[in-house]
Amino acid sequence: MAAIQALDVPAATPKGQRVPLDRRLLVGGVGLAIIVLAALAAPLIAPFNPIEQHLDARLQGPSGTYLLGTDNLGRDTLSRLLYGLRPSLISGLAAVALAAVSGTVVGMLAGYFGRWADAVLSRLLDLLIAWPTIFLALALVLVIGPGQFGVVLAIALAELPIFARVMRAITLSNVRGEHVEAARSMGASAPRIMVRHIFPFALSPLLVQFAIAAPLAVVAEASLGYLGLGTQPPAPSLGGILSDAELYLSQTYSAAVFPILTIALLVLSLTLIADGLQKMLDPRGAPVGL
Amino acid sequence: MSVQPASAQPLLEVRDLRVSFGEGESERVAVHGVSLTVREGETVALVGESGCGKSLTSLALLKLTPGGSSATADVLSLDGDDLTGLDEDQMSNIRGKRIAMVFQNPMSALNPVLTIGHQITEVLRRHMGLRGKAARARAVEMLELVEMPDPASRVNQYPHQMSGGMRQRAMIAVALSAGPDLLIADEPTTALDVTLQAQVMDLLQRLQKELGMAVLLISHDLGVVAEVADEVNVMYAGRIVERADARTLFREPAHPYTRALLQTVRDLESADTVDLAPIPGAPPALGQVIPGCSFAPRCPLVFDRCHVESPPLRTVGPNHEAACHIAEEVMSGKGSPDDRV
Amino acid sequence: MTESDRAVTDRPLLEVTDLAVSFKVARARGSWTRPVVRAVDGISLRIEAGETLGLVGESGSGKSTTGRAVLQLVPADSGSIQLEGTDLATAGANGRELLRKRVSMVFQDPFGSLNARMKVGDIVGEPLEIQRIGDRPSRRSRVTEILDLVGLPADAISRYPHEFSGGQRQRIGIARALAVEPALVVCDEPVAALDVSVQAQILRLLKDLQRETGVAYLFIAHDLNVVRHVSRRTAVMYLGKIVEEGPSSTLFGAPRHPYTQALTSAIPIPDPDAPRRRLVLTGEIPSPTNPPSGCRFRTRCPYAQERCAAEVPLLEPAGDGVSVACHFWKEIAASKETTEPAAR
Repeated sequence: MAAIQALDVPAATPKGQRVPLDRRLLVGGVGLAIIVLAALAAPLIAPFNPIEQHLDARLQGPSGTYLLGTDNLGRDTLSRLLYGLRPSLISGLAAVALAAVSGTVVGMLAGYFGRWADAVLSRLLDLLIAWPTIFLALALVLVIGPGQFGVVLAIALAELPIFARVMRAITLSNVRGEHVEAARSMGASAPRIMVRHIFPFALSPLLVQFAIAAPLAVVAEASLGYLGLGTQPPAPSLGGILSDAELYLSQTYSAAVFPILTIALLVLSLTLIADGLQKMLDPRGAPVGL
Repeated sequence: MSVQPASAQPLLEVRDLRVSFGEGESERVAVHGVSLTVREGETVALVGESGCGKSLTSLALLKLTPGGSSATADVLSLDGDDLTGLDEDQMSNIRGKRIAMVFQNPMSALNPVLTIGHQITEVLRRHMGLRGKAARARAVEMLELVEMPDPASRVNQYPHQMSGGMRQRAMIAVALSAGPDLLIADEPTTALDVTLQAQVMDLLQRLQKELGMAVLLISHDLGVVAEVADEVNVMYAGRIVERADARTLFREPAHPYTRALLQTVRDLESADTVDLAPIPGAPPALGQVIPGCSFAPRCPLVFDRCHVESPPLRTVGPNHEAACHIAEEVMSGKGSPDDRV
Repeated sequence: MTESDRAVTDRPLLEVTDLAVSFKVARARGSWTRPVVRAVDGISLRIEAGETLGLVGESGSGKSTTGRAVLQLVPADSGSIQLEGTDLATAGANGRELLRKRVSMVFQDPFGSLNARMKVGDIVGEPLEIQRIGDRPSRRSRVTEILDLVGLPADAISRYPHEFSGGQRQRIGIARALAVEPALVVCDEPVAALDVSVQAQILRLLKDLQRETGVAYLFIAHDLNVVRHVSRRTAVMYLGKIVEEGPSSTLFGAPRHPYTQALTSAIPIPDPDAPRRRLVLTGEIPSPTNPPSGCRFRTRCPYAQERCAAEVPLLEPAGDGVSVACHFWKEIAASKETTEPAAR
């Protein structure tokens, strides 16, 4: 039988095959699990009290006693890092969760009601995007005073547009659909249509956005901590430890390098999770990266 | 213009065309050994419901089946030239020049960022070697030929500036500009309103006579087919289940599927007092494997043999073939709704 | 109940009077104002309990908008919609409640009209839930009952729409529409997306359900054969107006309006030997943003005269229960009678 050669195009991925667990998701998940466990177990595994000063052992490099060295006040860097992870993780997560919830609501309202509601909300989102996170945080600190609450609020406001835009697009593509019109024809209320007939279609894209926003939040939290806007001394935070160490870089590298490595590991894990999730939930899309 | 006398050699001949997706165990066969013959100047229809493989068959004739599929045929020849061994370059000299195609949706066939004139002159340059003013004048002529209103200015317009009916005409003009011997028309009027449908079918028939082309009409609409086809092939689940000249097929269907389809369409024409006797179930999905005759699960005349043995397409009368174990009985009216009542 | 019993009730199930609906469409380039499309321009309809009114027309005729206006999915500019004697516009919340309980809709797209993230049981039960009809177990048993009525397997209740074929999905949509036991179902192109053999199943189902439940249909479609088959009466729309209305047998058998004549003669007949007497229209339906003056059909009408441009023809009785909106329908009918015997 003569083959029609020109037709022998390489076969595409067969349909119906289950998408295997993405390797990036696995590696990122393990990385994040280790970090979260370490933060949770800090009271158990930290060798010292994170604010206890050992003035006889200032600015030391890694040693048997101080595994990752000490800072200018002789505080154990490992202990400070373990405890410092907690506010970073909590602020990051809280900020992203707040951004996700409020962004979803804003996006859904803008997309569903359209017209002036959409015009007003979309311009407000533009305003948030135009304003750098740092300035936003500085402004909030001026108003409500320094502390974690201001940082969380600032990061949440900065990341709100990410969620709002995705939700608005998905709402727009569904709101004119026949299944929504069918719900209207039954007399379904606007909240019911939004919750039952639009939101379920946004779940997986929102999850991907959540994974993208999380590492950004961690970086933002560390930057704000570095500027002294977040957790107030002497309590440790990743940004704060780095900021303390910076002045003494000429005397010891370890107090600065290890917080940087910790932040990098955390961001890398979260990014890998985001890429993996995106690949699994939307196999056609390109990896998101950072 | 007179239609040339039927020569011994058909214009298009396909023997045992197979199209499948996937390989090995996951292979799904969409077209199972279809054979077709189209003679010069003739209109041959390929009728069937969605997923029956009619569009894939027409794409395979041009070697345009989608990625991930593979197609084979024992014979694929155009006017005596073997097409099976041709590569992509050689095929692109056939497409548009000797075999052209029009589709259901003109927006998918026309390039949205080029004017209609540009799209016609491109074909003229590539296949006829016409350029410049001569090509442009010819493009306007083509638009006149398809009865485009105000062709001299429409030639400079983009597809989105035209109405649905005009786009359909523009697509036909592009397809016919190199003077093909065979036009494959895949549901050419399905997306159009009924009054436009009549305009476009009349146009296609007139052009076929004037240009002496053969037409392979792919359609689901038996009404349209009855109006224009010389020969009709009925497809079901990737196979041709019946083939006959149009008059025979509509008068004496030999396959229960053909007969049931015709009955449904005729019942619809009757008043609301007549009850429809629809074919139960749904056509199998593309590539779905059914043992024996693939129509057996929906057939009112099914018996044991149908579930084990796939009936071959066999001659049941002059210029009439059907793939049914009891085609003769079907032709004589056994098991028809009139018979049951 | 026999046909004559129904006819004597003075109050029709649905009475639409002088309905007009318009939309603003996107601004053209270089223009400051958004043009207004008068999609439906003063139409009146009447549907008796248990009957089917067919509404045919080509794309842009306003037939779908009419259906949506009846369900108040698009706001009407003017005119009244009376359901079982209640004017929906003036009755406020009570009118809305009456509408949702008595009128439902079947859509064209068997894929898009069902929420892919909901189970079939929840989809079919949703109107009951919204209307707060019955408690959870009684709703569940109503859903089971209605799924059986439309010919779906009992296990469909816990499956998702994507597991079903197009025809079965349309059955799910019909089940949802019938769940509240409505008096009227607006069917918008319910079979246009289906294969011929499946089309016939759905049409048969709709007719059987009408016989069993006494539901009335406003049946909107572009396919004349389908409309003729299911509706006792039919209205033909062109550019937002009804041009002819009457019993389907008369309307399709002896069309009076030139547009209806063109439509019916354009239907392809599945018989190679059938005589072709085609009145093929030239051109296409004009843009509804700028409809022709006078009779809207005049730009495509082979019989158009000066009067047609100046004066809008009104629907007038034309015998056999038919109404027609054409200045010259008598003359056209007379000329047909003289030419036709000669043609034969």
